[in-house]
Amino acid sequence: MYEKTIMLVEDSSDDIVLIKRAFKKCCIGNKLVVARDGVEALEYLFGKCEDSGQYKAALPAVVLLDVKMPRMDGLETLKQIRSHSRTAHLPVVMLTSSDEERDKIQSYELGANSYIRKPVDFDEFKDVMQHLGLYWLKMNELPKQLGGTKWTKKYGY
Amino acid sequence: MLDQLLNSANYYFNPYSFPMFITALLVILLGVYVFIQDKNLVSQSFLIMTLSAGIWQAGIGMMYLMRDTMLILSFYKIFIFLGAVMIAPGIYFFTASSLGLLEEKKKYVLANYTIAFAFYIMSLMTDWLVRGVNEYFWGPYVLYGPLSIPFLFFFFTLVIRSLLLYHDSIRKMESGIKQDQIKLFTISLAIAAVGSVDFLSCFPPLEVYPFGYLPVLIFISLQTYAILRYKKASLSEIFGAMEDGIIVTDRNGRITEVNHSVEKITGLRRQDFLGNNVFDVFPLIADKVEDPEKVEALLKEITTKPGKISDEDITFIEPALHISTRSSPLMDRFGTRSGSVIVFRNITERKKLEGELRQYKEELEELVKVRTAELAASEEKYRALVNHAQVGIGIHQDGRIVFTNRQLLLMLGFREEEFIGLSISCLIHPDEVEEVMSRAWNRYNGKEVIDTYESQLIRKDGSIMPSIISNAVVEYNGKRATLITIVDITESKLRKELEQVNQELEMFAYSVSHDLRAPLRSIDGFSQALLEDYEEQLDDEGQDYLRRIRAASQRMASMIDAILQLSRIGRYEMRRKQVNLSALAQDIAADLKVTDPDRQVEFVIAEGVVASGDPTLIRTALENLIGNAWKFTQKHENARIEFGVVRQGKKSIYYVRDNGAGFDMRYADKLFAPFQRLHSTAEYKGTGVGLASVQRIVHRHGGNIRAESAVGKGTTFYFTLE
Repeated sequence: MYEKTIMLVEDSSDDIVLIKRAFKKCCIGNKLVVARDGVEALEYLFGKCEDSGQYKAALPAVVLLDVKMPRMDGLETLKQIRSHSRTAHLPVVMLTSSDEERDKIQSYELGANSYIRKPVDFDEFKDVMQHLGLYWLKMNELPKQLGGTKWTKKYGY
Repeated sequence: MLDQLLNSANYYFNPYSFPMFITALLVILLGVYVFIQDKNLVSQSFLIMTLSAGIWQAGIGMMYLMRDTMLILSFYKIFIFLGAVMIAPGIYFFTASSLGLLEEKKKYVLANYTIAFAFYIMSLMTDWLVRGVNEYFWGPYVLYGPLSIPFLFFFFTLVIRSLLLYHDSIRKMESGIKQDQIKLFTISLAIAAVGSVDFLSCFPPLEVYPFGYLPVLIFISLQTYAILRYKKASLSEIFGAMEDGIIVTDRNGRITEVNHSVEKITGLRRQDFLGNNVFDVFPLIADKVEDPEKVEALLKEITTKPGKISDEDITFIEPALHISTRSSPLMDRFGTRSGSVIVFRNITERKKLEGELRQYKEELEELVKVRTAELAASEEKYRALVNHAQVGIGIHQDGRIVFTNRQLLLMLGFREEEFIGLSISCLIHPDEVEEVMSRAWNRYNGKEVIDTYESQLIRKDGSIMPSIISNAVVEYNGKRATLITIVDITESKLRKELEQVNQELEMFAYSVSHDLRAPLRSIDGFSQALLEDYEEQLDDEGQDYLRRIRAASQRMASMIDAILQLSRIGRYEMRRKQVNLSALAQDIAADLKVTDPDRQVEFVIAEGVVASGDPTLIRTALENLIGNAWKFTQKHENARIEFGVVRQGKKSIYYVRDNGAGFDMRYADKLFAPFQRLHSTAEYKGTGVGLASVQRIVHRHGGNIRAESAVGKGTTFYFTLE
């Protein structure tokens, strides 16, 4: 009844297409939720129904977060995610073009779970995406609070 | 009246008048005598008092000789009563002045005389005081009327008041000569009060012989004695009481008088001195003084040159005393010497103080000497400090330079002699001169203004020197002045500009790393998508083009990475440490062997090569150099890579040598430029920034790098790290 989703926060439409393709190529069929910047991402994560006061969306299994984005960039978004109790331990993978040392340091300081540089070579890129999907969706285990049990039940792990 | 007075028919012989005349005469004489002896307030008031009493006594004596009643009455009113009425105020006046209370009692004295004068006028004008004459066995005597009651009241009041004044002051006074004298005054006044018996016979039932002249005489005599005795007593008392020892000798050196202090100082008794010659007395004290010969010489001088005033110090051993002696001749009234006075003054305390003072002074002098030396030393230090300071230091006073250090002269290009006295306004940029000068003026006048600011100074050659100027108000040669410290910030300005450019570059590099790579990824990604998804629609040529597009975008991505790497070396914050180059080289060699285990390369790495540098950067440099050597020896069977050091004087020159491809030295100048390659990419892979990075690292360490090579013979890179 419930499938783990992947959330992608990315402003480049090219990258969205390529990432989707990469997931498809390596047979990761989970639902991909796309937000075009940090503001949209936070709206998705913290949006509530007006009548019930419940959160609209279940938490994704992992958030792939681009660093450089308009409106609210990746680092600020990460900070916001970590400052809310609901998402304090949500897996967040920084997915970026930059290999700037300071971006890496800041990301880890703010509590990123991983920092991955998007390779230019699509073959490599595909490999990275495969690893990512495999690791965060299949290997990594989450506590109940983050929706771990249901997932485990469904897939029988 | 005058006729009557001069008419001998009005007189008769009466012996009772004699005591009166004698008393009057004596009283007046004593008054005058005291007055002549010592003309002061006391003797003046005494004279007035004696005159009053004398007039009264003499008048009564005259009255005894008279026959005519009318004459007697007139004479009494005009003359006798004048004396009588003056006596009581006179007594009061004398009492006040002899007690030193005149200032305080002045009002009363004046009031007394005014009242007395009023009584006198009233007795003259009326018969209320003297109403008639009575005959007694001692002669004619006046009868008193009603006015005599207030008069006698006035008289006795003043006498009693005077007695009370004496009594009061005796009580307050400490015993001494002065008290004795006052006691005498009091007794005599009390006796004088008995003289008021003379008034009794003025009231006929109380007929008594007026023997008042006797107490008056006693009174005046006692007073005279008291006045004179006090004077005499005081001199001898002073003599005896003096701190200083005094010896008086006659002209032959015989001692005629010594005071108590002499006994105290010498430990001898008075009788040891009196009547003896000073030389006879001297042996008695010779063993008590420190330097007997000096004392003897002193005595000789006193006796042989008696006219001379001598002055000498004597030190007594037991009791330990310092005595200053001074002798001076005594002259009689004809100016011939009648003897000598030797004064001993105990100056032990003074000597002690002098000694302490001298010691203190010596200590102080020593201290001053030490401090002066210290000051000179520290001044020397400060001077050196100021002169060798790397900042410009100067002092200006009244708008002109009065002091400068070497550095300031160097900065501004002046010689000292041209610089001193120069107006400071000449040194400031014209745009700023007004502001700076007004600030200097305000600071000089004690207002609070900023002390440190940036300003542009003008050098002698007219060029501008950006600088930071710091000001402090100091005292220089006793006058207010301003101490300026100047730092040339030309370089730091440039550095600041460079830093800014660097920061901009960093921003640029950052966005390059983000933004330039993203499109490349799209190019590569979609090319790959085309190749994969549309393989059937594309012929071989189309697929080849797409592969070329992918290869080019990947190459560009790696070039971007290389640029970033290069720029990062420049931005990297260096931290120097001791770095073991040998260990690093070993490490790198091991890594390389792992990447391609099939290759046979001989590494020759010198042991224990250590240098100061940033470990990360040095590692990058060595990685590039050794990596290059590894790369360019890949086609050689007997590849050999060396790392070592050669010493040239104090310098260490490190080298990385290979026996690989080598290059033509004609292109050596292009070797270290980024993206310059001396071999094709096909032949040897690489981005062309490796050596550029190495050079940059070496330069950042303050060193140099060069290459020696020949085609086919291998290459050696030599580098230094400052």
